[in-house]
Amino acid sequence: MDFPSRQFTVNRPPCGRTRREFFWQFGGGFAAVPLIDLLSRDGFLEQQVQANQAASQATLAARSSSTHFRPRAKRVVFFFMQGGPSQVDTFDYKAALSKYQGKTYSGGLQIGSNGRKVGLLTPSAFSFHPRGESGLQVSSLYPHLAKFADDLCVIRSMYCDTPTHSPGILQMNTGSIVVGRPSLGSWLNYGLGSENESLPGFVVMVDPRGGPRGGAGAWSAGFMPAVFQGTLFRSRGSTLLNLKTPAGISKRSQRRSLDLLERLNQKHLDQRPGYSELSARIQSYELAYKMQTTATEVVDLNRETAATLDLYGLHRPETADYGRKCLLARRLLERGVRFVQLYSGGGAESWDAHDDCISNHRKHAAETDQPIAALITDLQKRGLWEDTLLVWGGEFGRTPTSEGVGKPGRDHNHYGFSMWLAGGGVKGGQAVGATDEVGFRATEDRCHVSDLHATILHLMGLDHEKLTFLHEGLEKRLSGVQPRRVLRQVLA
Amino acid sequence: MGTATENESRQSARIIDFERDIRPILRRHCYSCHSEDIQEGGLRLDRRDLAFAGGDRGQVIIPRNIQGSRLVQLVKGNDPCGRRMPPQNEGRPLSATEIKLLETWVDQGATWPKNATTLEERGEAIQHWAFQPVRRPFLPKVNNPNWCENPIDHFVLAGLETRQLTPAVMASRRKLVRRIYLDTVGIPPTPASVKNFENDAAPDAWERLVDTLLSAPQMGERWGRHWLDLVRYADTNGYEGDGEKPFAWRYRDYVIDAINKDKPYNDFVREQVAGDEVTGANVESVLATGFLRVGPWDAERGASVQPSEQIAERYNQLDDMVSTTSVVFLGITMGCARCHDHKFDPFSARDYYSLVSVFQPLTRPHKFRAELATPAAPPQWLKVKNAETFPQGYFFRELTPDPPDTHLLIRGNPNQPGPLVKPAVPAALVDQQPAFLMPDNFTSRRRLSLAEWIVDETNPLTARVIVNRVWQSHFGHGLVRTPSDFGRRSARPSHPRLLDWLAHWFMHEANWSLKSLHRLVMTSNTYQMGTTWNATYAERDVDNLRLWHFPYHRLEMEVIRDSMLAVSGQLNLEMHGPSMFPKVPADATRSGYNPGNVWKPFDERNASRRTIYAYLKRTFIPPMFDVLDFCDTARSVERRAVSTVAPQALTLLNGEFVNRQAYHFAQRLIREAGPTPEKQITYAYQLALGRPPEQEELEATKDYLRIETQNFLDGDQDTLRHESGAHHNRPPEPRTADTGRRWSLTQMCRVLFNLNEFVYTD
Repeated sequence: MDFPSRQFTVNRPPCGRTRREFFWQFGGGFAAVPLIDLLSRDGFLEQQVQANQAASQATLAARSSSTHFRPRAKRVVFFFMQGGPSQVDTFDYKAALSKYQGKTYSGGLQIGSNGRKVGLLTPSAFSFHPRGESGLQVSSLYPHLAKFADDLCVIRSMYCDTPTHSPGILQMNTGSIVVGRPSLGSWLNYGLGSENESLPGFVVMVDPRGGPRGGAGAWSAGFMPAVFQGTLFRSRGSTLLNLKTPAGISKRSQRRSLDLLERLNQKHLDQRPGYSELSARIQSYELAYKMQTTATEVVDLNRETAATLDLYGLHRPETADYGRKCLLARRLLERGVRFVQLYSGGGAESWDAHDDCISNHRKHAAETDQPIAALITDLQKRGLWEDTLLVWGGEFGRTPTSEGVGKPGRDHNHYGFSMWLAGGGVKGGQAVGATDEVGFRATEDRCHVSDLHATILHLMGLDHEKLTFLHEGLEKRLSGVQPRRVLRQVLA
Repeated sequence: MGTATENESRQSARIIDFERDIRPILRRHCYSCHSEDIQEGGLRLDRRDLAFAGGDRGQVIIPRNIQGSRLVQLVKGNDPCGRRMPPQNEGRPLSATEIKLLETWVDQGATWPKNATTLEERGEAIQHWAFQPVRRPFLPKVNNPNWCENPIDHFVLAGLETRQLTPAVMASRRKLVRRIYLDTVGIPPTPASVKNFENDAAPDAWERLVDTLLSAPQMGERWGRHWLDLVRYADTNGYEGDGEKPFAWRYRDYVIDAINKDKPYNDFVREQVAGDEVTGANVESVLATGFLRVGPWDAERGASVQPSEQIAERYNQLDDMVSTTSVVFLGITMGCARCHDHKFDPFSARDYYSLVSVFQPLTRPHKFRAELATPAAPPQWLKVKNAETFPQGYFFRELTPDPPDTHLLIRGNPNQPGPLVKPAVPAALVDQQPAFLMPDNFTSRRRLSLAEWIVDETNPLTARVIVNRVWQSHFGHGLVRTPSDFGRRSARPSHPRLLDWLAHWFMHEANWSLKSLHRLVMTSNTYQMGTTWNATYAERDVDNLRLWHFPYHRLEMEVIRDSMLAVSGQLNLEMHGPSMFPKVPADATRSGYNPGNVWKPFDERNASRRTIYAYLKRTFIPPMFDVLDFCDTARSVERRAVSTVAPQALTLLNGEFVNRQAYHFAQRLIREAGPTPEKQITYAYQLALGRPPEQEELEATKDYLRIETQNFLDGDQDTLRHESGAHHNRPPEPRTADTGRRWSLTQMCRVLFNLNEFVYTD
């Protein structure tokens, strides 16, 4: 590997000006230059004179860039089940729970979050069956997804550092329970660049009932420049904020205003030769004008066939929203967007099933099951499956005990929970790791959230110990300072 | 694989050098549990005598006996008890190469030179330039002393001359007046101010302009915002509930007033760190300590009934105080010493927890997850006077002069307390620890002791750090381009002697007066240079490190927004008080956790106040702020990023705010310049850009107005309605020549707000 070991030079060369800062001034669009490509170029700063071609160079660069390892996937969809889905009701079958039904948990760990009532061990209300050739256990909550059991790699031994939502969501996204760190999507765009200059490389779609607890911290770029932060896409109405020309201004009028702007800006630039920031800003207006068309076209589902809309469940009220998001995700992936995150649950309506895990999970699973399965079908059909990585999960799991004796709810559990990966580079049809007999604590092949991040980066061709960003004198990593590992069993 | 074997045999053949080969392995794998602060199993491996003495279970290193050296056997996992070092979860196993090196070392006799100490490396680090005392250098000789207006120019010119560069010619008066307005008060000059200065032939015209602007109340609002970036100011806590910080704005107002009053910087520091403990403590100085509390707080965890969550969040709070204080005032990054000794700087975990103990006595007034404000008065006043007579403020309190003990936490883990630590400052920065005061009847006075050390004239960092920040605020970059990191990994100063001269002058002649420093900088010729580009010079110094021209840089988001309000005539200059809520698109609030309650209803007059008064909700920053590179509020921000991306263009073209101000701007033109297009255009240029249009610009703009008006009358405009419907910039009815001219004028104003010249200072 000839990847240089002194990565800090990337965002802080001796001259004090960041290469990144230098380049995104000329990119015009969304930060499009991959870190690694910058590293491999000597005399990078001298290219200032070529600034005019920078945007197109950047796009090309993203395609030709090298990574630490051979990348197995190029893009990621993260299905974020906000609130914390119950592992024993979804992908972690625990027959023993029937045996221990009504017993107290005696494993020594403190059950429950923030003083909530602790109940007794309670088996799942949903039935489990071995599915596909692999026989992977999937609960009856997921009839559609179960058909792809042989594609799923369930990690049953996930754990994180907090049983509280907001820091949990932050940790799943940024690796840290404290605000201010860049999220996974930011790291991927920082490391790999984006492949489409007129679309953001990191797109987030939230639940129409509200955002995740803790809000924008979940897609923040933290200490990285704001160009790496997640862009909120709306599945309805105006896709991106301010994408539409103000009501009443015609397209021709907008064009004439832009022409005057360009003419005046050009004259100003002519008197100030050498200031390429100024020409970059002129270009950014042309790109904005183009985006008004391209970004609107992405959300225009009129060209999709009725069969496709049906497949994603757009005609059924319960699946319409998540289905629309999944379909938009496919359209974004096709156009080179690097990281798409789709929230299920937000505001007061989430997977946070304190009162009644049965009806809560039934509802949220029904909203997402068919759409996710549809996206898998569609990606496989369109040849995007091999290099798209799918990630499913929430900020933590739920207790195998009920919340309060004899109640149908379950409390937060960060000691053990399940997530699944599928698609590019993932060995499907298997479960990795295990929880204890009742599904409470991860015991075998324990996988910390940061181990998951390391694994995701690995699948994308990046080494979690080498992908660093200098901040406050330290090379910060997504996987943090503790030793972390790639889960080799996951890899195909 | 032949190479690996060859390497190995070469390694075993060569003579092992302890400091080169072995110490790094011990440091990497063992010191976090077996050194100065922690000696698990009674074993210490950083000192020769103790390492050979061994631990509770006897010797671990026996020269020339690999089998008998438990150190080697343990790292190989060959221990009879089946243990391996480092233990699982606490570190990765040693590599085969590392084990081989240890074995060879033992085999060769385990030579450990007597004079080696762990301080060796630290001693080297202490030589770092920024840790040396500030001394006043002589002014350098220059070939062209006529160019030098003040000492700054001597240093800058000397740097240029030695590299055969000459400074750019002076900027024109018209450009200068715009530059200094935007820089000092953050709003463009009125046409009258431009004219006055252009016609002022007196030799001290510039000095008087500098003084006028430095004494304008808007100066505190402009420079105060730089400070708020540094202290991670916001009005809410962030995280799940994102609860409000009641009366946090009184800290924001304190900052603005302190700058306007030109409070000496040493007092400014003392008050923010220990305003309740300083001599002469009063309402204002107590409000200043809001500095320590305005960071994020995870109320859900901080107010959890689960002690482990509470304690973990408590240490996050202490970390926020330690990190922010050290980074803002001292330009050093202590945060990583929370878990281990600093990798690059001579700061240890002991240094870190000694600082933790300084802040340990502080408590947060809150009721469950809701934050509480408390009466803003020094503790001794509260004993004698009715608390209700004081205004409410937002800051921490020391409730007792007897704080709990502070322990070093092993790997930052609250469940693994190490040795007891006492308040102290980082050892590498002092020859001798400053005396920490004894508690008085009210507080521990630890923060006061720390503050006094920070502003002591012998402190090598404080003055250098602040003069560099002031320099950055005027030139876009500091003389040290890593303004919050003066440690060993910092950028080298471009003008080290100028930095020291300024730091010394600031303490000893300016008596820590920030305004004197601003004045010195802005009256230099260096500041008044033009932005003229020189391709030859650019080849040699593209980053303008040597300051051969005045740097051209984009205005911060606040200045852009305030300038639009000023130009449109809508700017409401009301100062101070509770924060205002700029209008945000309904679409944007939907991403909030609690969409209905994310934001308050729009009140245009209030929302037209300066941007520094905007409500900063950590989980919901207004999209316009965000897209125009507003700072992150999670932690101290040393400098705004400058990105140029298409969503900014969309925001400034299509966003509600800009279109609203364009409408007001057009109304103002009609009101103040009359009906003639030439006059309207000329006045518009003067208001927005501080100059009349050139002939070509005037013609192009006139043509644009004519065509737009005609098309309006021809019905070219879309008639579609937005569901929001609240747009100002929409075609007026009925369509007459008059409404058409108004419409097209609004479109022209929108174009002017988007000009490069509007958002870049010359």
